[in-house]
Amino acid sequence: MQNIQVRINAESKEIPENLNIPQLLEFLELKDDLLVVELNEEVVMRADWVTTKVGEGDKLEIVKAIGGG
Amino acid sequence: MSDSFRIGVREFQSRLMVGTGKYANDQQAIDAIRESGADIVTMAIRRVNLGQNKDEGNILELISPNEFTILPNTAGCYTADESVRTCKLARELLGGHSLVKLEVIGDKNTLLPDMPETLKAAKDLIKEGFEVMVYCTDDYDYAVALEDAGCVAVMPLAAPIGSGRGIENPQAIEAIVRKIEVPVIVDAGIGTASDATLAMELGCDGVLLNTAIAGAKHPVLMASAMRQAVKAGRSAYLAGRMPKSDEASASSPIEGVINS
Repeated sequence: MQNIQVRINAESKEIPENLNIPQLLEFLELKDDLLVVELNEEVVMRADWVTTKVGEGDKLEIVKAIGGG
Repeated sequence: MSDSFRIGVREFQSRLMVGTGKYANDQQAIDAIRESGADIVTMAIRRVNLGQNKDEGNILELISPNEFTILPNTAGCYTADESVRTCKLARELLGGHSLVKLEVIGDKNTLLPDMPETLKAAKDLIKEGFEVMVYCTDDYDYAVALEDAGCVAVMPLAAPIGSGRGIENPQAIEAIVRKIEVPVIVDAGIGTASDATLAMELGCDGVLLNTAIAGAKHPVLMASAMRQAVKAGRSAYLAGRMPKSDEASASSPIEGVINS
């Protein structure tokens, strides 16, 4: 299996190719609830997580709610 | 007597809205927020820490959308595009929930809103189907423009965010209250209970604060004080204060005084 380069939360990351969103979160050791994923500046709806694959050069944001005013 | 009020399509009982930032720990946050009686609580949207512990708690487990109306904010955004992006992430995070607190900051030191960019962001968000509660300066013309754009609440600042200086320009807030038909909520700059009471006495529909509680020496006690302060101010406003007079006027009758 090949690795690809992506940017996640503005950090360069090498990840296995062909991951969908749940697999990516598992690879990153993130719990998959209560967070949102954006791929190349578009929100990935949770219903589309399984069918959305991450490719070379993709830019991802993974965010959650935190305390704020 | 019920004194509920409406923001967009939703009805709320408490006129005090609170933030969830700056607490010493999670338990203090939830204790203070429950004590405040708030229905609406604000949160920020931020990147997860990629190295984070898988078992690290999430604020939405503690402060649940089942118990409170979560109001995601756009704190930290400097442009309309950043705010729209943040709100879209929040909407997906909260299962399609469209009520947001828009704040577009102009300067990282003053944290004062960039009003031209705020107005643009409000219009963009409304086009995207969001219900926008908008943090703004106490500028009358912008308040009117934001209501005209379709914002569901106009939220002028009392004083800069986190400053605790109280209402610096009550006349400006009062002018906005007189003109604007959607709820007017004082947001930011409240320091203590009397500031919240004054906001309500001026006729505001509600108060949004965070640091005034989280930054108090005893946050849970201050949360209780704020809940009572907002209620007292609201009652005083509804009761209609007596006119001010330059002259003294004895409360006890003059007649029948025993004098020599």
